[in-house]
Amino acid sequence: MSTPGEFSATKVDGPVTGGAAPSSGTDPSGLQRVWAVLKFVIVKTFVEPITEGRLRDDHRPPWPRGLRAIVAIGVVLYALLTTVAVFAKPLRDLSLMVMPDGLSMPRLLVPLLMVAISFILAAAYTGVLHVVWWARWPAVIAICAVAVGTPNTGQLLALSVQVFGLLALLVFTAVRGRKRFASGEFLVALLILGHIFVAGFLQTGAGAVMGDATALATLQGTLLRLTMYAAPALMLTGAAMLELTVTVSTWTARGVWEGIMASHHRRLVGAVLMGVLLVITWVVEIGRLVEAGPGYTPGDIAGGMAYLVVALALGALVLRAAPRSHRPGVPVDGDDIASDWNASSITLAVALALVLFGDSIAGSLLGVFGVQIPPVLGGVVVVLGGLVLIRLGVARARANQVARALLLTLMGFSLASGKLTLLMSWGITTDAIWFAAVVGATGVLIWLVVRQRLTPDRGLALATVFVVSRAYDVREWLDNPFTELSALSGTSMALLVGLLWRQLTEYQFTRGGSRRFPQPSRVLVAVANMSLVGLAITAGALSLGQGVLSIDQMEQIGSTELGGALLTAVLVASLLIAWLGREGGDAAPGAEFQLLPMTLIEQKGWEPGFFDQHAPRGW
Amino acid sequence: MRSWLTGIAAAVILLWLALLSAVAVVRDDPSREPGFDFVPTDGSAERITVGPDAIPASREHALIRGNAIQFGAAAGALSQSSPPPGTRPEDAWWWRETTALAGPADDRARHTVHSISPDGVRLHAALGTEDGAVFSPGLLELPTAVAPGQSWTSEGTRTQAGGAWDYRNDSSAARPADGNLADAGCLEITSRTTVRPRAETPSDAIVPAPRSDVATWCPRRGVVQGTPTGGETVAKLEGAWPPDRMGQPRSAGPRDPAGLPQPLGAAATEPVFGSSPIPELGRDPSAVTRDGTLVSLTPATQGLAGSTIRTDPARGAELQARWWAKPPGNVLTLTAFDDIVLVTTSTRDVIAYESGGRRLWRRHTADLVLQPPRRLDRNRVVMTDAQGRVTALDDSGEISWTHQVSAQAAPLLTAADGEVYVSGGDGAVERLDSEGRPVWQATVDNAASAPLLVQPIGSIVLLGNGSGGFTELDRATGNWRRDYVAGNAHSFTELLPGGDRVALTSSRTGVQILDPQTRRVTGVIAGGRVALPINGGWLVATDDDLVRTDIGGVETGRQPLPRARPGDEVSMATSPGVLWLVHGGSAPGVEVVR
Repeated sequence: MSTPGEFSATKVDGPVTGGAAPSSGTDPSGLQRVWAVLKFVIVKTFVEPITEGRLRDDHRPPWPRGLRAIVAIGVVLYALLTTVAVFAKPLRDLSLMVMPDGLSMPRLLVPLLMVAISFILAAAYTGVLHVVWWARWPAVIAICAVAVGTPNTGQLLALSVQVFGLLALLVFTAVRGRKRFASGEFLVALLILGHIFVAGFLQTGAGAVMGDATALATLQGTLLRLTMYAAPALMLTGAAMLELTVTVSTWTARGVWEGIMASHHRRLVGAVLMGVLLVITWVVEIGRLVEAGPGYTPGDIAGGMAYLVVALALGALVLRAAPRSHRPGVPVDGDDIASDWNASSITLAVALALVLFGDSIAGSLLGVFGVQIPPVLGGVVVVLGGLVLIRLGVARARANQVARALLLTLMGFSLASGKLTLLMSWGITTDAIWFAAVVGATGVLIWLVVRQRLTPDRGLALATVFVVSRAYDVREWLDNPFTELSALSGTSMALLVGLLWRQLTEYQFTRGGSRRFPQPSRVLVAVANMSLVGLAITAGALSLGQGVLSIDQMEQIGSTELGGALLTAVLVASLLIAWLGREGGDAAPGAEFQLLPMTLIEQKGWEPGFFDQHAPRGW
Repeated sequence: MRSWLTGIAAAVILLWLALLSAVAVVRDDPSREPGFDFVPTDGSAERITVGPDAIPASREHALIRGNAIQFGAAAGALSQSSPPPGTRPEDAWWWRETTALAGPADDRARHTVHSISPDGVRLHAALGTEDGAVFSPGLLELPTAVAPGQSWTSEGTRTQAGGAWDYRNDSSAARPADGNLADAGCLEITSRTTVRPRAETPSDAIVPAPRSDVATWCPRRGVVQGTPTGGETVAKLEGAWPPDRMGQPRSAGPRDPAGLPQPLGAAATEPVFGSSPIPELGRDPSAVTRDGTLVSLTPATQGLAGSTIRTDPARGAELQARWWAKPPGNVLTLTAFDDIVLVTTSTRDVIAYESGGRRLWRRHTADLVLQPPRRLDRNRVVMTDAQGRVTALDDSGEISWTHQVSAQAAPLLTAADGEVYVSGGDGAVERLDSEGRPVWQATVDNAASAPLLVQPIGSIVLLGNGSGGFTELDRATGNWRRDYVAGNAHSFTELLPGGDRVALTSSRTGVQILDPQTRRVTGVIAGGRVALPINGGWLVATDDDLVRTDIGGVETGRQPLPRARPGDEVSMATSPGVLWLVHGGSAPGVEVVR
């Protein structure tokens, strides 16, 4: 949401007509208005994120020669892997390689996975080859460690390939590290790393029962080491369905609001729509209360209320750290958070992975020295990690990145409170939090009506709470059309849709580059990430989740923690705006309704001149 | 470099790597190699009769690739054989033939090990009839590309209990008199084997008598009739199986742990492996039949061994292997139902053996069965494959019903009181009746990542997410009742019912006893590895002790185990009068408590 007057480029004066409405100055018809709202929602929810986030050469600056071909191969590989994942179950009718512990893979598809691994290693290596030296060398060593796995001591030729390959790669890194990207580097890396990796399989005594087990164990080890790096991306994939739910909801609320505000009968239409929304919401909630279903017992409701009150208080406190917090009101609303999600979600996912798997990583490291980590440490790490995230939220608020601040804070709160309540044998369900939010929003609505302080802007904030809560209920409907496909795949279709969505939207960082992290490196890292996520999901689907990184677990964590943080942040921001009002006064309609080829996602509190300093190159 | 050139070069390298990868994982087909013409295919089995009394038996064949094979005979015999002469270690193929007879407990097993090399099929070890003998180098039973009229000789050392002898074998091939067999390409092999004591053999050792054998070998089937070198006469078994176990009833209802005598009141004995031909006891899985046969798996060869306790006045109780079996592929699960042992394999098969080792039947499944089958009722078991196809089989291996559940990959199945519950990783739980008809479906938000653990108790169905989170559903309708958190929230892997309580087993915190009525953990047995409900209480094994508790988990007695075996891999089972503790991992072994 823009504050009026911030951007002359996007500001429109007078009645809002919608992006598709004719600019003749005459009032658009009802149908045109509906179309404009629909278009607004589609553009904001789908078109803008894809336009900004997909991996493409936008010639600002143009990609170096050869990079497009590498990206094209990566995309083809990704498409191939995803297709295999979709048809994983029928493909298991082929001959299987099976380990004694039950891990199994269709034999025919193991070469595809091995080729994908070789490509990922080569793309990642070439990507990190030109980054700043202190990041380059650890990354190269990590890539080599994944490629070699367990050195092949069974065959002299294979061992020689691995040893000389590694030496060649290290020399190549030293020679090429400071130079500019050249596509030949990728070919060299593919040749060397591919052979280092494949050589590990040549000892396995092809075929016999134990030979299969050895080959699969080698593959499993590599997959586990490699897909560990995909954990953040997989968690984001798991959260994608909720992300879509939230963005559709917030932008729908905003779009409809804009449509209402452009109407001559805005008060009447607004009141009717709010009333309908309220009735629908409470019919559902009362039904559940009567049923006393999950999350609707008195204890659950009390827990949900307590959680929401603390989250609101925490959110308000963190926002107080923003530079212009002395001004009354709240500087962030629901669609700001939805807009900021693409940019901030990667940071959130990496932080979440570190917090959740910190004790496992530390355990592995300390295990080398024979030190056993006590079981309770896992919980302590999560709680401490949650507190660190809250602290980071405060830092982001001070940097005036208020949407990100709210996301970090509420994710930290969710992690810490989740672990603490579990240790106290007390669970808080999502349904209970939603019910608390609906109760809170209704209470605030009544209070505002009674006090005659219900402005359109506050109404929008409350409507956002109601719309998001209903959309959360029906989010699984999105999965239903894919049920048959899900039967073929064995993998959640929500995950596969999320997989596609994230790959279309998460590569904003490949626009432009810096000396420490040049653009070709970003593009190659993006390609490696894309293939890696495809590989992880395909391997999980083909093995039916046995013995590899648990995709289901990553999906679940992503949906619960990342998606939960997004949902709670929207709730908190909306309820705070409804209660305290917007910083700088109510938003004027039309500020975001005017669709431009590239709509800026603004930050609250940008000072004049900020945009000129921070705009992407070539804008 | 031009973009298109980069693309083409990268594609070529990727194709080359794909080719190399395919070479690395392609399965060797030994049947195309020289020497395999008369060797049965891997995993094949047949019903035969053995010996002059025509004892019904089942025979299984396994082809194993490795650089040496370990085996044992009676005490003192060799335990290892190197590859046949002229064969590179990595090229050696071994043909293991196991025969299980329906007969007295001490006379059930036959076991031979051959190698297959370019010069032919060699016998390396024969166990069973003559206490076992090991041939070094292997006795050449059938040269490669043998033809009628051809003869050959092999010599070497034969070692067995009591001494070593130089052996000489003279064999020849002829066309079988039976026209059908001759047309099928079979050969009749006549052999004569003589031995001469070696210097190190005691003078009073019993000298094996010279023997002449005639056997008919057929392509891809091995010896189909006659007497193989050093072996017993075999013939095809016609008609149906005779009654199992020489007329003994096969199935007599579920195992009844309550019938076990007070285990803590008696002295514990630990078996030894002194007379075990092969210490076939590895890591999980293992199973104990109702008649007291421990069936265990050797991870290296994926072979099964059936062992029983033998009490020797001089040496005390010891475990003795009675039979061996080799199902095809890898063994994924191993479960005993009374006196039937069910094995699921990586070849997507379910194979049933009776407790004496005879293979009863084999049923192919659509996908791998990764979770042990469960008892559905007196004569049926139920299982789910990795894709959620639930199948009920009766005790003759016939499919009673099948049902595809909606749960996603690798669901978990629980069966109790003729009801079947299947849970998936997405929080979905489905209840089926005893005929596979869906009763209700429910989806709960309590799921963590793995499929929910399900346990019906009284009027509720308890769902555990393995992290301390529980959901109660109404058993009749599947309606949600409540969510709660119990226990210390560390991961647990099993919900084991006992009376009105449930044991939660965790490798980190031991065994916790949950009271579903009060939703409280009423007892914690620290260090508990495995629990067993027994006589209105629990028996819990720790690394060092056997702990007896009341139903609430309060300790009432403790007895040290004969030997501490630290590690997670332990299972507990009962057979009448005996409690078995089977340890796997780094300290495998068995403890038996009477």
